[in-house]
Amino acid sequence: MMQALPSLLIASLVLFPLMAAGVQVGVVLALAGMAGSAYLVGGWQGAVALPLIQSLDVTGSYTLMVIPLFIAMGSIAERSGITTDLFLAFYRWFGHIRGGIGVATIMTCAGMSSITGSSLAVSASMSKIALPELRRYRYDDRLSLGSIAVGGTLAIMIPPSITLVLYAIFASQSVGQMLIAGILPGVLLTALYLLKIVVRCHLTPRLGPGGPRHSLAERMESLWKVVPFFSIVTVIILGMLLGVWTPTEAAATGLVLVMLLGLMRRKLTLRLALDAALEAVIVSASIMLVVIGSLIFSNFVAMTGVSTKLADFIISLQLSPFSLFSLFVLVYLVLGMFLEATSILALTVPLALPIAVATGWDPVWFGVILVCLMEVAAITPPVGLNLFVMKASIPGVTLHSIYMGAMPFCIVNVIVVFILYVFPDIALLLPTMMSR
Amino acid sequence: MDTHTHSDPAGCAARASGWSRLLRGALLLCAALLFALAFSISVDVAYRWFAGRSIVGVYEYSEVLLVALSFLAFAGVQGSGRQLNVDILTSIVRGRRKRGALSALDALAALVFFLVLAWTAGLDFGEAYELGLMGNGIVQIPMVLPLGLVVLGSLMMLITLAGQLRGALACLFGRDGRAPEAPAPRMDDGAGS
Repeated sequence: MMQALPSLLIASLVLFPLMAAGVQVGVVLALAGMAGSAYLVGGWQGAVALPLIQSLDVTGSYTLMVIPLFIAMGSIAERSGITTDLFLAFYRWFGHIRGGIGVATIMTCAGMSSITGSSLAVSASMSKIALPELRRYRYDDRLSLGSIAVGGTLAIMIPPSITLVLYAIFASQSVGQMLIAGILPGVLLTALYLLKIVVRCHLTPRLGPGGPRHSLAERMESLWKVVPFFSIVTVIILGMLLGVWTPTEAAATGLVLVMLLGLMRRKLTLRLALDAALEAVIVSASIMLVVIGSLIFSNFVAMTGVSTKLADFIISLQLSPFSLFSLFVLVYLVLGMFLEATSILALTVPLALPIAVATGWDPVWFGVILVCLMEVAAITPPVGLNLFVMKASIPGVTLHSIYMGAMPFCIVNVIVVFILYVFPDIALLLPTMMSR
Repeated sequence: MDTHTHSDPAGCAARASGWSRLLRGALLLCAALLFALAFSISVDVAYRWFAGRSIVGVYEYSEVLLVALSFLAFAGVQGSGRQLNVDILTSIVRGRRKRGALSALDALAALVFFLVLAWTAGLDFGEAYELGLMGNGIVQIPMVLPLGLVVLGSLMMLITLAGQLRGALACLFGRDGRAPEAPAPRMDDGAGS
């Protein structure tokens, strides 16, 4: 521990100024980990070998292939017009009830989230597809903007969530189990968002009046269009749940199936497919660099033994588990205001997870809690990426109005976090079934 | 996945259209590799479903494809300004010189990291080539393949970062001692946007 403190100080001196100065996260984490490790072991030889070791480990990992494959799958699905079809189906089925178009918006977001790991993509496309309809039927603008902002964040929780995959990597957990663990909390979140919209619109009808009622034939026609989409999602998730295939195989097969669906519907061109793949390559390469840096940093943190000491210290405070949990929630909500999800997880999981494990919490459950809080991070200023994407997608709208619309939904997220605390089986039931 | 990105916040990097085209080409190659990865794994899954066993080598070659897909894309990501960063400071800093300084710092830090990576990977590549080292697995893949991709990707990144640094320094010090009036075009020519 004598050597650990100065090495932590050195790593911090590299980490915080460079990160604040806007140096890319992966590089900062790597340099901080290398500098700290070099001091700790008393030489640079071991530290300079770390980037190559971790680079080959990360980029040569069969498990990590899920990241580009799932991103490409979501990108191609979106470019094949699936979002529009989903919205049309839910709109025809639920649009006539009070708050029904808001319901259709959230359900479309949940549907899109089940095939894309990108909350930004969902928010951006729903801003263009759902908002004109919500405005046409004179929905309250804040409710509309809030529904889209928070609906987009469902992609952070519902598999194939890239954030869940990243937590699994940072916490050395099974990617498949983490993805499956996100299903029920994702469904719970969706249900509570829907409940909130419906109750508010019933109490104050001017917030979300009912739209036109569609005939059964029209509803069935719209439903028929999305059946293949839901079949693919079901096959992917059931396959993972039943252990038929690994997450990587599910992602690869899902990508091929989504491409075939797009081609059959004559909505996917070579150009669109290539654009989607390019997007996936760029996003996943930027994530890979963060993962490499994070693992170098985690390696250093593990060498110092600081996380164990920190866990011992926190346990010595004899806080009740609920107080400790509330403290975690508060810290992550504050961090979420200033950092985005990948950076928060890369930076904090090596320190926070040992404390959680020492408290007796399940790492998979803890991951679901963190990811639920990351959903709030995506829509809290000043660094709420979904807010920026929506602002860029909707001309004339202010960040303030989007945030004010999303804020009441953030409370739902916090409620869900505490529901998960009381009923951890909501997160753990499916992973437990999967491991049997 | 949420990305929070910037590069060259001062807009100072010089246009290098030839290099940009090469980076774009590398990204397109990566996109093609991604499809190859998806198809080979899917065929393997289908084959296992029907024949009850996997196609030998798919697992090992998929791992090399991911190395290629990541390392050949790093420079393109840097060039198109899509790398992940925290922009608490960069979003509030005004003035081309200050932003140029931050861009220079970003490029310098990444240069250090990729120099170390290129150097160590280069040494291991030489050793693997001389000794004919092979990877683990049912199908043994020569180690020079993934190591060569790491070296190539790191060198591409170093060249891109050198361009960013040059642009940032020009912006920071300005040849006539003044900050340039209008932002210079970015190296990005639309890759992946």
